[in-house]
Amino acid sequence: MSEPLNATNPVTFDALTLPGEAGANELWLFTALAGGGTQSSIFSGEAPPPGMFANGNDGGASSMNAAAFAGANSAFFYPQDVYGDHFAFRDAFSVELFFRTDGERSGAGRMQLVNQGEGSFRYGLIVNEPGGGNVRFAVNDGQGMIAAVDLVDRNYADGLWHYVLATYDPDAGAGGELSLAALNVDGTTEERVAALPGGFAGLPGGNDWNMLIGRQDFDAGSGERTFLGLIDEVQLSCGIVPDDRLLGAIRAPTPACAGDVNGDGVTDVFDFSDLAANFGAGPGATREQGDLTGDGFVDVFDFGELAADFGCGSG
Amino acid sequence: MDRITACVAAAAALLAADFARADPGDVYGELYRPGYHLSPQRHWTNEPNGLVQFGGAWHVFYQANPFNSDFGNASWGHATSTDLVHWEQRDVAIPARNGILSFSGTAVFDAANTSGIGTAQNPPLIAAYTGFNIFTGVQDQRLAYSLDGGDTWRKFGGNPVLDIGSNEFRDPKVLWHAPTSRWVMVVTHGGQKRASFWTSPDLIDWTFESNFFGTGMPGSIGGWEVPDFFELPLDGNPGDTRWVLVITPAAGSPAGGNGVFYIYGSFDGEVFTREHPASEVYWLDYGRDYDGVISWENMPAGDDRRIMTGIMNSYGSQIPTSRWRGCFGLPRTVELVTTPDGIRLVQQPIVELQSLRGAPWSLSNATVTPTIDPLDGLGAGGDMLEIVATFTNLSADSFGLDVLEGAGERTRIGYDDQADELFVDRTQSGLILTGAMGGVHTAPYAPAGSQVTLRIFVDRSTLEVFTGDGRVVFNERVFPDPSSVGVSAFAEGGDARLDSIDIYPMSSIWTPEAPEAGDAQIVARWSMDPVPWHTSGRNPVTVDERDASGEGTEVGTTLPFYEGDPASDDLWRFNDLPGQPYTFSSDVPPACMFGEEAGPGTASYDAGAIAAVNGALVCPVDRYGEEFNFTGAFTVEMFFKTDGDRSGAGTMELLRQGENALRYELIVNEGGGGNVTFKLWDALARTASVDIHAAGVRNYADGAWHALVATYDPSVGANGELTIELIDEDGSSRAATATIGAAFGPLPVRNDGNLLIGRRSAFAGAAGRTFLGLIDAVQISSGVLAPEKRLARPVAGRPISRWPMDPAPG
Repeated sequence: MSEPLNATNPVTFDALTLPGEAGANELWLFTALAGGGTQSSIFSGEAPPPGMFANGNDGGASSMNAAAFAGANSAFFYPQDVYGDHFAFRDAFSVELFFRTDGERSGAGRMQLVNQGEGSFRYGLIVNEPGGGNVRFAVNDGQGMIAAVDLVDRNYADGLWHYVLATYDPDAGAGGELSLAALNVDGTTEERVAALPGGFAGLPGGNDWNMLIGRQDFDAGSGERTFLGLIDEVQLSCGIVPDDRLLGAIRAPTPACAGDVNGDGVTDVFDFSDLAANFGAGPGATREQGDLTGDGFVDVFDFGELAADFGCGSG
Repeated sequence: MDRITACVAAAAALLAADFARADPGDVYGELYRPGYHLSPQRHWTNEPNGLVQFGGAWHVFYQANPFNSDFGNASWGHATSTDLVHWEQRDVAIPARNGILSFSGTAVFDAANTSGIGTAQNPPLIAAYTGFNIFTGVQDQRLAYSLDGGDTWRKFGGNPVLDIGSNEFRDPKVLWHAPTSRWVMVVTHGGQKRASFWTSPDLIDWTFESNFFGTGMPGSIGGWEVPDFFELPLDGNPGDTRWVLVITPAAGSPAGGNGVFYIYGSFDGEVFTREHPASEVYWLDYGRDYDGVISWENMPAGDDRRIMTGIMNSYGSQIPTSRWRGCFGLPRTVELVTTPDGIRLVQQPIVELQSLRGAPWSLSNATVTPTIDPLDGLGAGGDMLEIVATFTNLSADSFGLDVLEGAGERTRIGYDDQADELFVDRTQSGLILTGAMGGVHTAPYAPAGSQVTLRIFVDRSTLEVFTGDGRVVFNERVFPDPSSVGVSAFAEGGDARLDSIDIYPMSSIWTPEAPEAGDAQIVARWSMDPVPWHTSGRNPVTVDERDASGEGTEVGTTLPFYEGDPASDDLWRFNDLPGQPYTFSSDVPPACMFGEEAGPGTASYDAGAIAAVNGALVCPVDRYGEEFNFTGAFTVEMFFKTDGDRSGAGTMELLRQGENALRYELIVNEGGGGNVTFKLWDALARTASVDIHAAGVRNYADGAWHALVATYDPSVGANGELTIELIDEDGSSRAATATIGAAFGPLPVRNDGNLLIGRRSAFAGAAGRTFLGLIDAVQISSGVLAPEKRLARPVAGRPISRWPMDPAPG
C-alpha cells in the first residue's frame, strides 16, 4: 500500500485481543473512495444468520461490504508493518470466514476473499475459480508451485451466506494436505481434501507484506479482483483449528428438517405460523424468525423452502 | 542507628518476612494480606474506579500499576464478584498506552445505546476515565466500552471526549439524570477546590453547565479529587430527596491527610446548590485510611441500596508489602437520615458480609473494671474477626475493646465519656513506618441513649469500626505482628457493663492458588516492543513483562514510570548513533511459534543496527539489581534471526551475563559456521558448553527465525548438565545435551555486572561480536522451566486473530 487515503485506522479490531495489546492485529483501510469510505458504505448492517455459528460465536452487528471498493484504489488490509508479519504461516494453519455475494455473481470473474500477501502470494481464497460459482483455496511454495483445493458442488456466488474453512497441513496424509469445507445456510456442507503435489516445497520463509481482505490488489483495474459482496468474521489460526474453536457450525448437527423454523424437529403448520408472523422481517432476520434461505429477510422464498420440506420429521 | 535508618531496616526485615512467609504459590497468604477485604492479586492500587453492577456481576475496577507495587503506569485493574463478598481477579481492563495513563473515573450502563457505541440489542457498558498525558500533564476525559458485559474493554476511537487543556481536571463521575434525560458528568479540579458539572445526550458531546466551589469551607481542606454524586431519599421517603456530592480532598481530614467529605443539596440537572452552611463539613470517615470513595451504579432491580467503597492506603509505597499494595474498604450502604445534629449520611457494612461469619464467642451482662476483663477465659481471638459489642457506661472515663493484641501491641477502640468522643488508638498497633501511621483518631459522638454499640471488623492489617447507628465510621490500617491476635475489654477510671458481645471468626474469601510446578520461576520477559517514549532519548526502552516475588535488590530509582520495583527488570539502550535511537524492526517471529500466554508483539530488537558504533542493550544492574547471576539452575529463551546468511560472519553474541565477569553466554558461529553455543563460566573462568551442531550440522545463521531454549541444571548427574534446543519456523526442532565435567567448578557468587543482549561488549568492532540480525521475546527463568511454560510452544489449532468486521468506534 502506498499511502493512507482518507481513513481513520484501524477500522475494525481484533476480537481476540484488546486494542493496543501486544499481539493485537487490527485491520486498516486505505481507500480513494470519496469521504474515505464512510462506515455506511464499507460496512453493512447485515450479518450471517446465527444458526450458521458454533461454539457461542455470532456474526456481530456488521459485515464488511467489499463491493463498496470496486473500481477505486482501495484495500481493507492487515498491515504487517504495524502489527508484525503474523500470518506468513510456514506450518499448518486454518482460515475461516463467512461470505455472501450481492446477488448472482457466478459470471463476475475471479473475486478474492483473502490474499496473503500483497508482496508475494502465500495463500488465498478465491471465488469463481476454477469455474463460475466455485471456491478455491490455494497455497504457494514460492518456488513456482501452487497447490489448490476447490469447492465445486454448487454455485457459491449465489447471493446466500456461506461459511468456509480452509486448512493447510503439511503433516497430514502421505505428503501434506489442503482441505476446504463449506457450510451453507440450508445446513448442507461440502468438504474437499487434496494432497499436496509432489515437489511442493512447503511454505517459504520471508515477509509477504500485507494481507488483503476482499481484494487481490490495492490498485483498481484488472488485478483488483474485488469480491462483490459481504465478508464477515474472518478468523486465522495456527495449526488445524479444533472443532470446539470453529466459528461455523460445520461440524455441528445440522437441522434435520430444512423448514423447521421453531426447532421442534418437524416441519409442520406451526412453522408456517411462525414464519407468517414474521413475514416481511429483515434485513437481519434470523432462521428462528423464518429466514430459511439465509438472505436476511423473511419472504416468499422462505415460504417456498418450508413448503418443499413440509412433513419432514413427522414420521 | 538513627530513626530513619531504623525504619528502613525494619521495613526491609518485613519485606524479607513477606517473601519468606509465603511460598511462590501462596497468593493471598502473604503477611498483612486481608482475608476478606478485596485487594489486587498483584501490584499497586490507590483507588476504586468504575463500580458498576451488570448481569449479576459486581465490577470493581481500580487504579492499578500492572508492572509493580508502586504508583505509576496508571491503568484500570479489574475484579468481579457475584455476591460483593468473594472476588475474582481479572485482567487489566483499561491499560495505559502511548504515554496516556488511565486515571480514575466511573462506569455506567448505556441502556438506550445513546452513545451509539453498541446496538439497541446489545447496549454498551461505558467507562469514563481521565487520560493523563505523562509528557504534558494535561488531564482530559475519555471513554472505554464493553460489549460483553464488562469482560473485555476497548478504548473509544473518538477520545478524548472532553479536553479543556487543564492539568487539574480529573476523575469523572457520570450518571443518568432522568428528569432531563441527559447524562451528567461531575469532574473535580484538584487545587482549585472546584467541581464542574457537564451534560451530554450521548456521553460523547459534553456541554459545560456550572461550577461548584468550596468557598466558605475551611482552607485546610484542599485538593479535590474523585467525586461521587447521587440522589438519596431522606429518611427513606422517596418523595423527599437530596443530592449528595462526595469529594476526596488531598488534605484536611479529621485524621490528617486525605479523607472524604460530603455535601447535600439540590440539583436541577445543571446546578448543584448546597443546603447547609458551607462552614459545616461532614466527614464520611474519621479514620486515616478511607478515601477515593465512589458508589456502584446500575443496581439490580429491587435493590435500592447505595453502596460505596474506597481505598485503604494512605501511606503510598510505605505500606510494608511487596507483591501487592493497597486494599479496598468493605462495601457500605449509605442512607440519608435526620439526626439530632441535622441531616447526615449513616453507613452500615453490607449484610452480605454476614455470610463469612463462623460460630461466635458470646457473652452478655458482664462488668468491665480497670482490673477485670470478662473476656479473659473466653478463648476469643484471631486476626480475621467481626465483633458486635454493646456497652453501658457505669462510672468509667473510657471503655471499649483492644484487638490484635500481643506482646507490646494492641489497637484500642473505645468511647471517651469525658470528651463524648469515639476513638481508635493505633499508637501501639505494631509497625509504624511513617508519621501518618499510628496516632489516635477521634470522632465526636453522643449516643442516643446510654448504650454505645460498636461493630468492628478486624482483618489482619485492616480495621473498620462502625457505631451501631452508623453515624461514625473509622477505617484504619495497622501492621501488627502476626502473633498479635488477642481481644480484650477495658474500662478506665471506673466500670462499664458489657451488655452483649459476639465475636465472629471470619472466613477468608480467597482460595489459595496452587503452587507452580517445581521451583522454576520466570524472572524477566522482554517482548522487545519499544515503549511509547522510545524516541525521547529516555530509558528504559523495553519493559519486563513478568516479575516474581523475592527477586530484586531494591536499587531502582524512584521515577514513577516503569521503575521503582525491584521485581521489574527493564532494558536500557546506549549507543553512539545520532539521537541514540532504540533500534527495532517490525519483523517478528511467526505468532504460531508461541504458546498461548505470549506472542511476538509488534517489534523485535535490531541488534545489527548498532554494529558500527559503540553501544549496547542492557539490563543495568545498578537499576534493577543482580537478577540473572544464577548459581543454580536456570533457563534462557529467545528468538533470533540473522539478516541473511551470516554463517561466515564470525562469532556473534546473542546474550551475555555479565558485562564485567562472564557467567553464561549464547553465541552464534562459534565452533563452526551456523552453530549456536550455550557456554557457562565458573569462578575460575573454566568453561562448559553445548553446541547445537552436536545434534547435526546445519546453518542457524540462515536468515530465518529460530527459537532457542538453553538450560543449566546442576542437579543432573555428577556435575550438572547443559541443554540447547533450536526450533524452526515450521515447528521442527533439534536439541543437544552436554554433561558437565568434574573440572568445572560451581558458579560464582558475585556481581557480574550488566546483562547484554545482542552484543558481547559495548565496544564496536571485533570485541563487540555484534549479532547481525534481530532478537525477539527474550525470557529468563530461575530453575529449569517446564516445557509447557516456555515461550516457544506451538499449540495445535489456536486462533490468533478474528476480525468481526464491525466498525471501530470513531
